[in-house]
Amino acid sequence: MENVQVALSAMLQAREISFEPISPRYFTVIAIRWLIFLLAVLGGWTLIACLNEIPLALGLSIGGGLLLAAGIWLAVMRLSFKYRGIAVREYDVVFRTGFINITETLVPYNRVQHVRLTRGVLEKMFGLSALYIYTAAGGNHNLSIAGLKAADAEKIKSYIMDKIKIAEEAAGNAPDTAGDEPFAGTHNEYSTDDDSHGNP
Amino acid sequence: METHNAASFLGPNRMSRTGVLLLFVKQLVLYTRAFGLLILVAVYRYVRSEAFETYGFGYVLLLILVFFVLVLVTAFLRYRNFRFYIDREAAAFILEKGVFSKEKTIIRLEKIFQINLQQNVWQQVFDVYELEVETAGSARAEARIPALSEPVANALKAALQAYALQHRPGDNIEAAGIPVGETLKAEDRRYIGSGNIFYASLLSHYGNGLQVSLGFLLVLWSQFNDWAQLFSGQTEEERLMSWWEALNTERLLLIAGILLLIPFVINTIRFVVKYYNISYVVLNPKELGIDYGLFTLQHRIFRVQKLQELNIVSNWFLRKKGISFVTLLQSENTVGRKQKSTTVFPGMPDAQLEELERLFYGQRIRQGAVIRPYANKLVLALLLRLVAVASLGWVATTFFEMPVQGWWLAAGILLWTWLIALLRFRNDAFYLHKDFIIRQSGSLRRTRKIIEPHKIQHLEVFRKLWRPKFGSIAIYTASGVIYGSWYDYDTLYQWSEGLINDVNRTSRSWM
Repeated sequence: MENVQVALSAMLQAREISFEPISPRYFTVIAIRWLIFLLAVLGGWTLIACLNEIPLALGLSIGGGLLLAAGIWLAVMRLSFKYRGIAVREYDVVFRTGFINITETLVPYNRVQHVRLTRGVLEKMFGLSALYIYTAAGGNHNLSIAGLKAADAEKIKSYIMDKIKIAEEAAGNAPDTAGDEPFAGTHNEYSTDDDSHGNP
Repeated sequence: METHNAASFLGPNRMSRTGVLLLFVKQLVLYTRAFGLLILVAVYRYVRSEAFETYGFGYVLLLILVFFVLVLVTAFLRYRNFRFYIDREAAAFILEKGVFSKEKTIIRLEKIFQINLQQNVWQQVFDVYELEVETAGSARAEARIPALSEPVANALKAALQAYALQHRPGDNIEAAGIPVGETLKAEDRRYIGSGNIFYASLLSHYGNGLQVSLGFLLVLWSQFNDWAQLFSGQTEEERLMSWWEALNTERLLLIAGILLLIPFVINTIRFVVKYYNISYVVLNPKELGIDYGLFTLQHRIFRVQKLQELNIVSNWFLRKKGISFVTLLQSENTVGRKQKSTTVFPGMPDAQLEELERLFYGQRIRQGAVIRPYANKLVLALLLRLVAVASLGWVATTFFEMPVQGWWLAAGILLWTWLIALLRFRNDAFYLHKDFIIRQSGSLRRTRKIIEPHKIQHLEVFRKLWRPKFGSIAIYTASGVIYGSWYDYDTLYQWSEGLINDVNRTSRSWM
C-alpha cells in the first residue's frame, strides 16, 4: 500500500497548518441531497395546501419562505467549506469543520481504535468517500470526515493503519500478534462473548 | 469446613444449597410483583361471589399451596441445572443454566475484567454471596452466580482472578496464580468512617438533594391526587386552590422550612445507606479492593490501570475538616454503564486520598502552571443574570401586580446569583503539569477533575468566528470529557499541540 508523505515542516506550528480542503464535489452532493429533501417538503406542503383549501397567496408565501431558508442554509454551507479541511501530520490527523463555531479535532495515531471508509450512492457517483476514525473516548464521540476524494481517503486510511502498526510495535503489545497466549486460535468458537445456546 | 482451592472449580460445581431457598424467594417476589394485584382482585371477587358460599375458603388455600409447590419445584430444578466451572482447555469460565431452555455462557478468562461479590437483603438472610463477573467486551455476557457460601465465593473469586491474570497477554504480574486477599492483614484495611460520611453528606450536594426531593414530592403529589380522586369530587386545581386559601404566613414559613430540610435527610440516606462502612484495601500494586453498603453489600476490585479520571469534590465545610468526595472513573466499555464504572468515596480524609494518589500515580497530584478564562466570561455571566432577573421582575410587575417591595427580593436574588457567578469564575481554571491535567470548576462546591496526559484519546479545540481570541477545549478520555470555555485560543492551541506530542511519545498504555 502506498504511504502518503507528510511534510515535517508543517509540524508544531499551529498557525501554519495548511489544511487540505475537502473536495468541492462534496458540496454538489450536499446540494443534491438537500434538493431531494426540499422537493419532498414542498411536495408535501402543496398536498396539504390543496387538501385544506389554503389561499394561494398564503401557500405560495410559505413555500417561498421555505425556499429562501433553504437557500440561506446552502449559502452558509458553502461558506463553511472555506474552513473545512483535513491535515495529516506526523503524530496526528487534524480535521477542521464548522462555520460559526470552528472546531478542530486532533486525533493522535496511537489512540486510534479503528478506521472505517463508507461510500453512499451519491458519493459513489461523484467519486467521494467518508472516513470515520474511532478512538476509545466514552460515548459516541468519533471523528467523521465526509467528502474526501475516494483515492485520498484510501491513502489516509492506509497511512493511519501503518501508523497504528508502528505505534503498537513500539508499545510491544500488539493485540493481534500476542504469541504468549497459549489458546489463541485453537478455539474459534469462543472468540466472542456471546452466549451459545444448546445442550452440551 | 471443606477447603476450596482453584482445582475444585475445574469440574462442574453447584451453588450453595441455600440457593434453592434464595431462588424460591426470588421467584416468589417476581410473581407477587407481576400478579399480586390480579390475584388479590380475583380472591376478593371470589369471596364476594355466590360460589364462595358453596365452595368456601378451602379451594383458595389449595390453589395457593399448589402455586407454592410449583414455585419450589421450579426453584429446585433451576438450582439443579445451574452449574459453573473453569474449563482449562478452552481457557474459559463456563456457566450452564435453564430448566426447559438450556443456556450456556462462556467467558474467556483473559476477558475477565472485574469480579464483584455482593449481598442484597435476601442474600444476607440466607448468608450467601452473589458473585458477578464483568467482562471487558460487552455488558451482556456477564455471569451472575446468585448464591455462594462465603468460602466458596472467595475461593472462586481468587481462582478466577489468578487465571485471568495468567491468560491476559502482556500483563503477567508475580501475583498470578497466588490467590490474593488471603494474606492481607486487617490493619491494612482503611475505613472512611461513618462520621465523615455523615458530615460530608449533610454539608454538601444540597442542590442535588433539593432536585431529588422536589422530584420525590412531585411523584408523591401525583400519587396522592390519584388516591384523592377516588374519594372526593374535587379536581386537582380545586384542591390546590383550597390549600392555597388555607395558607397563612405561619404555615407558609413552616412548610418552606420543612421543604428546605428535606434535602439534608435525603442526602444523608442517599450516601450513608449506600456507602455505609465503606473501606478499601490495597490488594497488590495493581488492584484496590473496595467494600461498602448497609442493605446491599458490595465488594469490588478496582484495577489501578483502568483509572481514567479522578474527581475530587469539596466545599468550604469539607475543606475545614480535611475531607472530600473522591470519585474514581473507569473506562466506559458500553454506553449506559457509567453508574457501574464509577466508585465514590464520600468524605474521604486527605491522608487516605494521598495514599490513593500514590497508588494510582506513584506520586502526589501536583498543580502546574494555571490558565484561567478571560474576564469577558464573568462580565457576560453577570449581564445575563441581570437581564434574566430584570425581565422576570418586569413580567411579575406587569402581569401579576407585584408590589414595589418585590424588587428588593429581586435585588437579593440578583446579588446571590452574582456571588455564585463570581465564585464560579474564580474557580474556573486548568492546571497544567507534565504528569497531570487538573480541571477545576464549580461555585460553592469545587470540583477537580484529574487526568494523566497519556490517558487522552483525542482533543477538540473550538473557536467562534466573530471572537477568534477566545477558544474552548474538550479533552476526551475513555471515561468522558473535560471541557473549558473562554480561554485564550493561542494558549489552548499550543497546549493541545504539546499534549498530542506527549501522547505520541508515551510508552504507557491508556488502559
